[in-house]
Amino acid sequence: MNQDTSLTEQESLSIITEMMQKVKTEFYDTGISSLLWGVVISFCGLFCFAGSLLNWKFDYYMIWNLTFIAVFPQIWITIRERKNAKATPRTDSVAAVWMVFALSMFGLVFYNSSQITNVPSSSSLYLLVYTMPTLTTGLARQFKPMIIGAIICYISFVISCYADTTYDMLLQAIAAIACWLIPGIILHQRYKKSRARHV
Amino acid sequence: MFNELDPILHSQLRLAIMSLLISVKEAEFTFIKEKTGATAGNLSVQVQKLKEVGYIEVSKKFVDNYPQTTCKVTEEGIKAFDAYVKALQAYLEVGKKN
Repeated sequence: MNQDTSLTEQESLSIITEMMQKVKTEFYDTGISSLLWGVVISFCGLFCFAGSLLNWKFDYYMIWNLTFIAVFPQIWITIRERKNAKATPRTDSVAAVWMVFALSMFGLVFYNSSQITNVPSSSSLYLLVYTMPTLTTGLARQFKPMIIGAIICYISFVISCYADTTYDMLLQAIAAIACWLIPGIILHQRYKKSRARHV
Repeated sequence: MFNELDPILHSQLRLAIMSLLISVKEAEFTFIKEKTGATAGNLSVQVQKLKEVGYIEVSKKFVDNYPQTTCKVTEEGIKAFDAYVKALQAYLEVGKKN
């Protein structure tokens, strides 16, 4: 490319389009993470199915611990892929969705293990569900108030696993304020400001 | 009335660099070189010009004993690119009408 060439408006437009198109095709998924989790989860599921069907005498559900072990190669894959990437996408919504999924899975495992020793309460699960759209939106749009709101919601979820159902209601209210009310107020103020600028 | 097209951006290679960087969070020098097809020397000069006007940030570090140059568009760069595209649209609209 020669920087001294005089440009027409049409040429400028085609350069912008061409370069943006080149970036679009740059970000591809290697599929290694999908392969890893596809193999691990299907193996664990089939193993437990066989155990239940054949009435195995040992604790075959322990095989699900493989999912915890699989987290380590996943971290290694993520670090390697990031290291090899020559460019970083501005917003990676897909990565945000998978991150929220992983956190929700950990949350469910945590919930199940905490309910063994505590009073079962489904209210805690609502808190976990609240975090999903909040964190996904916060990460995808790089909107910090929603990321902070989701973190507060995760903390509320952990507390609720050990708290009485009455306090779950209080935690739900706190989570709703942190996740949606405060970010909503900030967004609405921004919206009003941008409207005022265009009037 | 038309806004004049930003002379810094109204250049083939600099516009290509900015169009690439506007679409990503940050990109390595080698990535920009590969996508624009420019020579390293030419690209260096244009990157420096964009850096001087504050449209991009350039950071240098060593990764596995190799130097790595990373470029990132600044807020000022985003504003300038936005204004350039708007001015371009205005020119193209008039071109269509005539």
